[in-house]
Amino acid sequence: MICLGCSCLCDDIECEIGEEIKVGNACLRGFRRIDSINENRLTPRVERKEENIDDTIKSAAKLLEEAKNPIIFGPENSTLETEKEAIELAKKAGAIIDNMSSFGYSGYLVEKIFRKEVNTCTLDETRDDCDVSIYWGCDPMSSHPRMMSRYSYYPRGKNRQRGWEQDRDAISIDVRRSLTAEICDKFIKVPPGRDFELMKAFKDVLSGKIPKFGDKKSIMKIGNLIKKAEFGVLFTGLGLNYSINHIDDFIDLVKDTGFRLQPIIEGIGLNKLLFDETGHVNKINYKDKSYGIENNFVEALKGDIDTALIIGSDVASNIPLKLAKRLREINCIYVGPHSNLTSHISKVNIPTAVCGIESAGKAYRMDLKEEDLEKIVDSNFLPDQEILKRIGDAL
Amino acid sequence: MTFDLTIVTYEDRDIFREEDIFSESYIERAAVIELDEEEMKRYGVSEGENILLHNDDGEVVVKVKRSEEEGGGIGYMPRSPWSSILLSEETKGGILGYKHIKVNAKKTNAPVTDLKVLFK
Amino acid sequence: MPVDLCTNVAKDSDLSPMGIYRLLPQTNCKICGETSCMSFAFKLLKKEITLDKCTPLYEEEDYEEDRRALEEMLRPLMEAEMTETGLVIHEDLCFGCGNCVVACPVNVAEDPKGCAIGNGPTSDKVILKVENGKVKAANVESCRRFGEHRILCNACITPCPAKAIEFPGG
Ligand code: SF4
Ligand code: SF4
Ligand code: SF4
Ligand code: SF4
Repeated sequence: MICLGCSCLCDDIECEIGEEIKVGNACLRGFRRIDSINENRLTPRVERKEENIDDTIKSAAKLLEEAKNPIIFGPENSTLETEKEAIELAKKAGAIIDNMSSFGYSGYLVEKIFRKEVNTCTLDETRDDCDVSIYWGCDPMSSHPRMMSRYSYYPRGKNRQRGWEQDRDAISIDVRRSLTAEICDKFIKVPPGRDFELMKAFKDVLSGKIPKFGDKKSIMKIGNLIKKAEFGVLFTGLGLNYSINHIDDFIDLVKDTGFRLQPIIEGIGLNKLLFDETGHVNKINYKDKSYGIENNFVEALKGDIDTALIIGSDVASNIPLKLAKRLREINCIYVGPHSNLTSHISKVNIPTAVCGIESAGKAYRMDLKEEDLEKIVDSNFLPDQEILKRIGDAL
Repeated sequence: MTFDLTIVTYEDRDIFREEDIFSESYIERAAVIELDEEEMKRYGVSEGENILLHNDDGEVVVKVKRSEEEGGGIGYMPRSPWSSILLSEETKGGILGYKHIKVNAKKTNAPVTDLKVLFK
Repeated sequence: MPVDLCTNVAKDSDLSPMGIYRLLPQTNCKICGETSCMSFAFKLLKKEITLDKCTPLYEEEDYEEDRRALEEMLRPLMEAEMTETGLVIHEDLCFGCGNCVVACPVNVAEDPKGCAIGNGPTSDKVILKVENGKVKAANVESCRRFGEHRILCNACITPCPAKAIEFPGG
């Protein structure tokens, strides 16, 4: 089966669900997701009172119908079908739609990649060809535990037959000695907010100058490694969060090095669908099909949003307290398999099946490889796409 | 106002999306800050004791864990409801500052912040 | 207290074929009598050859720093007795990333279509496999640390970010 525990979408998972749950090959994150079908499930509620599913769907539709400025957010680990329904719903309700990709630079970078302004590659190409991988402001070992064992560092690839020991170099650049830094052969620790200086230093090395940052010898060494790379891949994550001018400099650096960029991102399916329709990957307002910063979930919440539909993403846990409290004041609807802070502060809770286990569908891996998800066990929960569709139909 | 501590949040390998955030075991793993020996001395806290972190955006009490990594004025918090309490609403074009949160810190005997009370 | 602007920590000082290889000249000049620096590194680990056979290390000034590091690194090996394999997995630390599964040379050799290319094992001759999110060991008799031709293999220890695999006393 395919694991939807993160956007690696590992396709070699063995799974037996009976009296006991037995899972082979999935990492702990993946195993926990499967194991969680029996724990912490969301109950259908309206204003904290338990209701049947039909009534929660009706209430959700009513709130969306009455909304002047609704917003739809998410999902993180779900199916393309769900993502399509979320967009349909945004159209019907005249809502803003956004996801986690606009909380960091991942969305911005993904958009550049979709526009073909920056090179990228697939994870399979990474496995077969990559000789130098850089993890800048991300820690895949923690967030996407099998990415390095399956693709970027440890496996033997078609053209990297001798494996990581002789054929690959890995460089971690982070504010913290993360698990990824722990196993990379090079680690550069950058104090918060100073990545820009390191970028400059690398640019200097690339153009044959002496870098003016940190330990010159090691920067030169790593800079030269980057220069000599035959097939370099640069992974990024939330750690890249400096100002917008700097992110463009960062993109320039990526171009100068000839590296391929792979943002480590969840929910890229929604980004791709939105991009195909509007030319942008997030922050779309379907009221007038406008795109802009004011449609970023955080910014919108500061404005006059009155209703929010959150799908399979614990957004309340990831935003400033004041905004989480604001989310509690407005009409918030949470649709997802498990309870969390967002469901706790929502007026309507609609439980869903855990997709890829209790419901089937398609999903994109972080590099847009499409995978078919199977349904492994029966459950009483409805798939999230069906719930969204029914809310849409009731509008 | 001078700030004492910079908080860097990180994704913890032992925290999962599906978990019950009100469970004891989750709170034990998620409502923590990692400080190195020197930082702990500075605030007069030891491992397992509580620390109050506050800034203009909020305040939160979490448990102190020993960090093996030298901090140099930095504390590490797993990304969780507790670390988000300290996030600033001021974004850089919608980008939240997960990796760079300035706070004041002091030792406290108060219990770890109860999310249920906070969101009553 | 200000933080260092930039600290680089290169992790190339572990006692493994690769750790040794990294510090060798990597020219494959064959002066030592081996076909490559990598095979020289393997023999060093098995104590079948001594460092001084690689004469370029001692003759060229550029290699001096690396040579000293090598001497430092090999000292415990020269003093230690190799023991039977005593693989210990700390389940509380392991989070099933599979790095060790993919890196173990026995797994790779036994399972070219699975472990070798990054996937979960497709052969039951492998030593390491992840089950319910934690790594489990089987077939330990084929571990390279076992038997007559045992070597001080580190291939499952070095890639573990959680330090969950140990060979106490080995
Ligand atoms: S790496 Fe991601 S997709 Fe693969 S098993 Fe782990 S959680 Fe699942
Ligand atoms: S003599 Fe030294 S450099 Fe030459 S092949 Fe042997 S180990 Fe390599
Ligand atoms: S010591 Fe070597 S052979 Fe033995 S399990 Fe570890 S990697 Fe495999
Ligand atoms: S490398 Fe370490 S954490 Fe990863 S599966 Fe092996 S023992 Fe577990």
